[in-house]
Amino acid sequence: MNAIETRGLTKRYEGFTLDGLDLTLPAGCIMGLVGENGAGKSTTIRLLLGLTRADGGSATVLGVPAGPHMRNVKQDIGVVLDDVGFPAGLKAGQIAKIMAAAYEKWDQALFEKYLRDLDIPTDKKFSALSRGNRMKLGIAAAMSHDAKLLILDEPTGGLDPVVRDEVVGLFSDFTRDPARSILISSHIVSDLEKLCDYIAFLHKGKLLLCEEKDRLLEEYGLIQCAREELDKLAPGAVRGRRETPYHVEALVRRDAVPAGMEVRPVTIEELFVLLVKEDMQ
Amino acid sequence: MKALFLADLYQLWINFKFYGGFLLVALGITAFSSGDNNLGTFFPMYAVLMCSMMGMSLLQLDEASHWNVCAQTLPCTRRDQVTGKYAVTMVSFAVTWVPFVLLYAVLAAMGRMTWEMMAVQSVLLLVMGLLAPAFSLAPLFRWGSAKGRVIYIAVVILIAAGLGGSTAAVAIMGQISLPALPLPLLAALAVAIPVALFIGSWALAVRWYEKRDL
Repeated sequence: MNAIETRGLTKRYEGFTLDGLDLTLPAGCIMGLVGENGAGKSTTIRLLLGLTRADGGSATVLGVPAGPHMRNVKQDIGVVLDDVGFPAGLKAGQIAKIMAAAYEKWDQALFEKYLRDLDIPTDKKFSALSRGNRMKLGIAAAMSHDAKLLILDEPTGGLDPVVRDEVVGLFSDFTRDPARSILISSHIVSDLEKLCDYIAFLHKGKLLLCEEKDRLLEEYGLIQCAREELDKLAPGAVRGRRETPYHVEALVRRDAVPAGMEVRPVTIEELFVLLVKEDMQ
Repeated sequence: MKALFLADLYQLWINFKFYGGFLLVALGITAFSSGDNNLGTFFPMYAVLMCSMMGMSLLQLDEASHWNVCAQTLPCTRRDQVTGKYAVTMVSFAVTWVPFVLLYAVLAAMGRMTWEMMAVQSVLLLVMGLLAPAFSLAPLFRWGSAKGRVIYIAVVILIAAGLGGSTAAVAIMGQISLPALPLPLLAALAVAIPVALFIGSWALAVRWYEKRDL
């Protein structure tokens, strides 16, 4: 069973359309949603959680159609939204009691371990916590009820690099159980590169690419050459370019580049930036 | 559902714990001014109005902290969320209404008000306590607290006008008898209509909230 599946998922707002999104996240895998601001990452996550109604297409989460009527399946989903929204006046202990009442498999000891490990203040009201601590509290709550699927919208935003690394490690540990999956959106592509099995690039509401990360890194590479050399390459070989007065840096398909041409590895961030720039041209 | 209710109870305690003191003061003033129809009616009405608006206030707090969205990621539905707010409204209303009814009964037993007057006052409080949220909660669920606040304010104005009217009505009813319909039947009608409106409001709020993008 796939953890998440969308087919032709569409949502229209004034000035923005999430256009026929087809995504599949196999169980046991981690998928990163990459995209610029307003690309449709949060809209996708909100549609999956039934916070927003789709204008077309379909989505299933852990085999259940996504929508506002989902209830039981949410026992198996942990969620961190970009704006963690616990009631302002509550402290961590009170939030834990609410979570314990909500989730059948709430693990209080695990939650307290996360509070200690992530150094989250327990004596402050939620409204008095920094953005980073709010996010950490949201992550601790999402991971303390034995979820099968984590849906995370910019969960590392506002965290310092050390804590970010720690949190990425927690997510990685989470998927050691092969039945567990993660869908994570982030601007911090380096985090996704460390973590994800699959990468989906969203740009202006459209899915540019959705592939296994390792395959993407194998398939694509970067070359530096003169513009004339680039023009000689087979059509379709070049997927993006960045021009300077001295040379052109191009994202290419390795299999379409002549033997002998030096192709250096590409990072997911470079891949995304060059793909988006090409699409904008 | 239990989790949402617990969150609401925490919020009530944190934000409205002053209300217990206010209720005691209102009960005291009503007890000692039962001969004065204006004071004897105004304070109970004001207390009931205040507590019946607590569900709306909680909804506004939820939206301000984005808890309304976060709560929808828990194992609950929109219907549960709406039902929780109506339930909290009923609980906070009951916490106010029951002590006033008991006080009226004591005053009637002591001969400081008639039993008919006690029934009329109790029913009026019930009507006021149910009508205010019945008209205000559903629009808040449909349009959110920013737009719904306009309706909230309109209801407060209408209820305030109603308070004045009902005070006068009580004064008049204390002096005249109503020959057309027996008092129990009038009371039953006066209760049945707001109860029906309250239930209808809940159903409408569920329907509207399920269609709303959060």
